[in-house]
Amino acid sequence: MSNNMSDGFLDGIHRKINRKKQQRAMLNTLGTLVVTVIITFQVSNIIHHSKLVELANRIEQNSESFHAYDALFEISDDKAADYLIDEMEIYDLLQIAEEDIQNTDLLKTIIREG
Amino acid sequence: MMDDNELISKFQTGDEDAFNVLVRRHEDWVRGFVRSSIGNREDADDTAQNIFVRIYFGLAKFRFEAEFKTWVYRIIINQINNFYRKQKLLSIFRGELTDNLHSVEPGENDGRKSELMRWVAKLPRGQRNVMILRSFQDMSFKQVAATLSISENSAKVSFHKAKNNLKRMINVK
Repeated sequence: MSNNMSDGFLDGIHRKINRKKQQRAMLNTLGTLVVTVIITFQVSNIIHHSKLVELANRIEQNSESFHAYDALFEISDDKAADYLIDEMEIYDLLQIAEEDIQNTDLLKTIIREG
Repeated sequence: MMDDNELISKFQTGDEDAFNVLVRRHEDWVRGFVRSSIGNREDADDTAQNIFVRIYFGLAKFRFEAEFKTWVYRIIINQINNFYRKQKLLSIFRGELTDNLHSVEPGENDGRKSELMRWVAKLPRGQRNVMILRSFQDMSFKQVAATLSISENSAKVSFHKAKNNLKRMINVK
């Protein structure tokens, strides 16, 4: 009788121990999950930030190259051609080239006709 | 027969049966102690089980610096205090006094003792701990001090204050 009571008491203890173990396991899982989410969030922030820095650097470089042309006091034909190729739309470039050809033709006609 | 420390060492190396042996060895006096402090048998057994659950999870960190029984006494005192705290909170929520705290089953306990426990439960925690160990466990002041990690003089002072408070409470009644 006493042994049965003792077994019941011991069983009760083990039931409580198992419940507590489950609670602890659940808390650990939850904790790991929260830490993972926080780390993921932080890493994505870092990646996003580094991408922004990269983009800002690229923009800065581009604006520097643009200002480099502006800063030249006298532009050689080669530099001017580079500038036009780099910065202008192809249609504008073709238009200027066409105008140049027309101007040259007009000049040749004037010289020829005297 | 293995002593407590050997059983604890076995448990620490993964032998779960060693814990069962410890429970069977200490169950009677732990349950008796808790029942003398918490009159209600059901609550007392529930608290005693909680004490052994605490022991189970605490044994992994047991460093053999104190005697096992002294360490168990500390856990018992903490659990009894937790029980009183919960009862106090419940009584606040229910808006009633904790008079049912020691609703002792008939014939289970000596009437005078249960009456005294009713008053002891109302003492401040420190005084109550000393009173329980000194009066209900017949411990010397030295043992009380070692169990509660206080000085022997503090134990004596707390006991003296507890006695005076009990006298006052009973006279007011």
